Parts: sequence; C-alpha cells; structure tokens
Amino acid sequence: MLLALFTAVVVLICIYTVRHYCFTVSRIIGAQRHPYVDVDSADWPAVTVLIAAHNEEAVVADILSALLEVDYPAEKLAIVPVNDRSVDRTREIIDSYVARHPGRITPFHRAGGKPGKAAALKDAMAFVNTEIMLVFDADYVPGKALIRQLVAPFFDPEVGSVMGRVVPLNVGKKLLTRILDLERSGGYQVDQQARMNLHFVPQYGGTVAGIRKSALDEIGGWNENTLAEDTDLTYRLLLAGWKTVYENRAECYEEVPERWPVRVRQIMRWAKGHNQAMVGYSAALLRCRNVSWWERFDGLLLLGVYMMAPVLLLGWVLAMTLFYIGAPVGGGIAVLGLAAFTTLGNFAAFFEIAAAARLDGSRARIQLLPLTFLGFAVSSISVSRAAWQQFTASLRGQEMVWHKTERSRVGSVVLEKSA
Amino acid sequence: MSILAPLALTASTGTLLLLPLAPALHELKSKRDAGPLVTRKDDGKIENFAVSLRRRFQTLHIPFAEAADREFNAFVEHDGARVFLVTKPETWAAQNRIDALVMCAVSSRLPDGFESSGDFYALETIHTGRNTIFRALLGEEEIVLGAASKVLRWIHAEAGLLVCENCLLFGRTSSAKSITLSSGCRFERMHAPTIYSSRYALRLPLRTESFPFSKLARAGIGRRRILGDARLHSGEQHRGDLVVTKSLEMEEAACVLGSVKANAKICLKRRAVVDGALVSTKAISIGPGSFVKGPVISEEEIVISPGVQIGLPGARTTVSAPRIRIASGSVLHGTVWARVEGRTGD
Repeated sequence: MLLALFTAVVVLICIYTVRHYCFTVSRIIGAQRHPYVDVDSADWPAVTVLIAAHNEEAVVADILSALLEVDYPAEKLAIVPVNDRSVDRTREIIDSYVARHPGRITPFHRAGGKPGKAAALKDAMAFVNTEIMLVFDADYVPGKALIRQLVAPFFDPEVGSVMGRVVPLNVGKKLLTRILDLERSGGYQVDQQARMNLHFVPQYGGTVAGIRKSALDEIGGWNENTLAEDTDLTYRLLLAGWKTVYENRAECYEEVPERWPVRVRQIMRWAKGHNQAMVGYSAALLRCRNVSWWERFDGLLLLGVYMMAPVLLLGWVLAMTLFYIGAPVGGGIAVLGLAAFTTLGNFAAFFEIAAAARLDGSRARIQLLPLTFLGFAVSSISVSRAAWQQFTASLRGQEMVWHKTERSRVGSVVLEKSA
Repeated sequence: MSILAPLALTASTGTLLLLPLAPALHELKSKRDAGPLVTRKDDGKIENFAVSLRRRFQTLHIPFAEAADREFNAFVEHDGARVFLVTKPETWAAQNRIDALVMCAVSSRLPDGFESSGDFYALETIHTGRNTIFRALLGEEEIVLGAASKVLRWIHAEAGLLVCENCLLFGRTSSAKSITLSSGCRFERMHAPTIYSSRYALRLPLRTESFPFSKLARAGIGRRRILGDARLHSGEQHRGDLVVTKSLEMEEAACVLGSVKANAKICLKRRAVVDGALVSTKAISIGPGSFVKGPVISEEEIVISPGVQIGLPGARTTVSAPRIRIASGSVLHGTVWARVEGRTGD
C-alpha cells in the first residue's frame, strides 16, 4: 500500500517535471506566439480601469499618476479606484487626484460589505459601463503603452481575459525580493509564455489583466467566495469557451513582499484559493467539451500545482519510511530526489528561472540561482501548511479569510533611476 | 591525532559546501544586477525615429541661410556631426555616394544608384533614381522612391510616399498622408492613414462608415461559437461576433456584423464583409472586393486580393501576420506589419 502510494507520488512528480522541461524547451527553441503584439492602430474601444485598493496610501498615488499619462484616448479611458474600506489616507489621496483631474477619475469608496478583492470588484461593477475592463492592484505602475497592449487581444472575439507580465520593482532591497524577482521571471517569461505558445491555459492573474464584461456576465460575474478570484475566473471562462491570453510584452512593475511573514501569508492565500478552484473545477474540466484535450490536461496540471508541495513532502516521508522498513523502492528515491526541485509550478523550477534570466538578458542575477532553494523550501512548507489548514477548516466548516499583502514602498517611484 | 585535524576537516567541508554559493553570495552583497528589468517606456509610434531625426537636425543649428548662398553643395561640421548640405540640386549628380548626414533644402532628383549611408533629411520633395540605397530617409514633403531602391532602416514622408516597382523596405515605412506601393515591393512595417497597393487603387470607391466596436456589444447581440468547420452561404448575414473552432469559409457577399475568429484557415470569397476584427491562428485569404473593418490578425499568412478595403478613413486598423501578400488595387488604412515578409503584386 505504502509502496503503491510512493510510486504514485513519484509518477505525479515526474509528470510535472516533464511539463516544466517542455515549457522551457518551448520557450527557448520553440515558435513564440505573440499574435496581438503588433496591433498599434485600431478603433480602440472604451475601457474602464479598476484599481483594487485596500489601505494603499503608500502606493496609490503612483498608479494614478501613471494611468493619467498612458497613451490611450483619454475620452475612452475611465479610471475607477476601488477604495475598499481603507482606514488610512487612501481616500484622501484618491480624492485629491479627482479634484486635480476633473472628469478623468471616478472613485468608488466602498464603506462596507464582504471583505476581499473579488467582493470589492463585484460591487465596483456598477461603475463599469464599457465592454472591456482592466484590473490593477494599487502597487502596480503601468507604462505608457500598457493599456493598448492589454486591450489589443480583445479584438479577438474568443478572448475573455488577458494577462500581462508582472515585473518586480523593488528587486534589490532584500534576499527575499531578489529570490522573488527570479521566481516571477521564471513564472511569467517561461511558464506563462510557454502555455501561450502551446495553446494551453495561460492564467489570468488578477492584476495587469483585462476582462471582457460580456464574458464575465456570461459566467455569472465575480465569485466573492474565493480567495483567488484570478484562478477561479480563468477556469470559469475556460469552461464557458473563452480563452485567456498572455501578453509577455505587456510588462508592468509591481512591489513584491520584502518580509518573509508577508510572503508566507501571500503564498498561503494563493495556495488556498488555487486549491478551492481545483476542488471546484477539476471534474467539470474533465467533462467539458468546449476545450481541447491538451487544454484539459494542462488545465488539470495547473489546478494541481499547489498540491504538489504537500505531495512532495508526503513523498519524502514515504521514501524514508520505506527505506527504513526495507521495502524494495528501487530507484524511486533517486528519481524523487532529482525531480523534486524541478516540480513546483508557481515557484518556477530552477532551469526555468535560468532560461528566463537568459531570455531577459539578465547577467549577474543568474548567480543567485542556488539561493532560490531557500524560496523553494519556504514555499513548500507554507503551501503544505495552507493545504492542511484548508483541509481541517473544511472539516470544521470554517470560512476562509482574505488577507491583503502589506506594502513596503516609501516615497514615489522613479523608474528612470531604478531601470 | 592532532586537535587541528577535526577543525581542518570541518573547515574544508564547510568551504566545499560554501564554494558553489560563493558567486551567489558575492552578487547578493555587491548588487551588480539588482535593478528592476527595464520595461518598455515609449509609446511605440512608428514616427518616433522621424521625430528624433528632425530634432537632431534642429539641435545642429546649421546656418542654412548662409549655406544657401553658396554656389555648390558642401560638407559642413556642426556640433561634431559631418553634414552634407544640398542647396543646388543641379550639381547633385556629382555625388553618387555620401557617408555623412544629408540635409537637402531644395526639391531634388537623385541620380540612379545613389547611396546614402547616413540619415537623409529632405525639406522639400525628393525623387530618387533607380537602385538607390538609403539608411534612413525623412521627407518633410513628398517622397518618390525609384524602382528597385532599398531603405535599410526606416523612411517617413510628411506628405505622400510613392514607392516604385521592386523596392525593398526594411524596417519602418510611414507617411503622415498616404503610401502608394507598386508591384514587386517587399516590406516589414508600414503605417499611413491610407496605404494603396498600386496607383490603380487610388480610383477605388471607399467605404467611410461602419458600426462602432462597442455598439454591437451594448446591443446585446453577443457571440456565436461553432464547434468544427463553418460556412456562411452566399449573401448570408450574421449579426454579432462569430467564433469557429476550426476553419471558416464566407461565400460571395456573405456578411458578419461583428468580429470573426477561427482556429484554422479563414477564406473570404468575393465581396464578403466583416464589420469587425478578423482573427485566425492559421492563414487568412480575403477575396476580391471584400471589406474588413479590422484588425486582421493571422499567425501564419494573410493574402489580400484586388479591390479589398481594410479599415476606414476615420478608423485606422492593423493588418498583422508573419507573411502578408497584397495584390495590386487594394486599400488599407493604418498599420500593416509583416514580421517575416510583406510583398505586393499578384
């Protein structure tokens, strides 16, 4: 029994390992898909930009300033900061921008209601009168061409949502930020773009992202009962026959966590939300006729990505147990050992990070690769802990609580210097 | 056994363990590559090169009035740049190759085989001879590019740009007014309010109006998704967006009032109309006399027949594919971007 379970763990981990190798090969030597990147002239549609802001006094001014400068017809761009029950100076800062730029910004100050980003966005839909809407978290700093880059794929009537690339801004602050910079790079530059290349399932990431309102209406709007509205939306759109598109060249700066406890809380929330989606949509995806077999296969693997950490820990425990009881494990332990570090999806495998650094033209930062093991270890334990908490909470019938990621930014962003 | 032995063992083991981490620790401490990745900050407009060159000439502060009094064209040095000033076009024929910046202040006709390896700035109309080669060419008035000429980086005309037969246009080709191509030309990226694929296309009657993009969505027409291949019959009209999981054929005069997407080949027969975007993961073929509001996006190839109109005078659009073939007698409004090769002619 233990041996069969161990074999299943090893096979599962090997599948994910092969998946990561395929993604990396696709990214380095495969044909690259950027079908919408050349759309620079068009009858651009009206767009609403929603800025999710909960206690964002440290960062909200930067994104408002950046959005007022973007290269998009001003009369077609509605900026809606969604101030969700903030108790700091967020409201005051937003209102000062509204006063200084009359007619450009329509604030939504949400005083009550269910906590969480999805719930806030759901309430903000009353302010959306356009077919296309973009969503940014308040710590993001969009570039001048970003809005057009994110809107262009919506000319394709099959596209329900679009995801841009997230680029950490506060890279050099700490060891953690440097590790996260590498992980993000691998996750977007290799993982997401490879899924785009292979016509698999790129993931809507909830920020630096766009949604078609009619698609959202068709699938029943925002799901406020999830901790990861992005994954939830990706799969509901997929099941309804809508595509998510990844735009690797639609890059936007974000602030990554600078403290380990913040990072741990962030990844635990992601894991719980992702696992919710796995439970909710795996069976439906298997039955769905709207999607190709490859999309189903990749979609299932993507849903299971956060379960691989506890599965890996289980594999290690089983390996030791079987070794000491003298069970014939053969080369299973060696395979598990080799495959373990190449498995975990959202925190990219080391060779994906190396490939991403090469594609980005990064030089010295690739030397930090051995230190990503630290991020891997912390993530594995945090994600496993999240899965355990989720399991026990479901037994007790507890509801999960949404935690906002704390910001560390001090002062305004000056991109020219940092770049 | 010496007391130093275990210490030496510990030290050597520690060193061996830390050695592979040495580059990482060094980078962590020195922060040589710790800045955020540089992201795109420009607006991506095709005219940016032209604007930049114009600004460069303005900052050179060339004493043009003084130069205009000279009897001959002359090389001048300004702010470290060597500039060839052209004020007497009748003496132009003496120069067949110039390796400096060129500022041409008068309307000129360049000789056959002329080569300019520096950027060329023309304040008035320029007619080039056959087989000329330019690195970059900016004209404040009309430009006529002679047959079999080559532009290596970019060309921009503030008035019309006429490209004669068999020209090679690497990089960016743009005009603030119109581009008129001839057969046998090859291009990469073009942008103009109107692009004619031949002089014959100037006589085509143009559509000027269609439904706004969002009006359809607001009307709640929605989209229709077809599993497998699809065909719109002759004269059939479909209202709303259309998504096909395989190939799509639109027969003569078939019409879609919305956008179209297929995950295999799209074939539009004669006089078909797509009043929205036309997108395919494979090839797109647009039949004679058809109209597409745009954008038109293919991941393989776009073939445009004679008499086709893409975009509207007041609503420019984009035609994008690795390979684009445009037959003589078509009109496009906006951007045409062929990543691998664009070609005109039948």
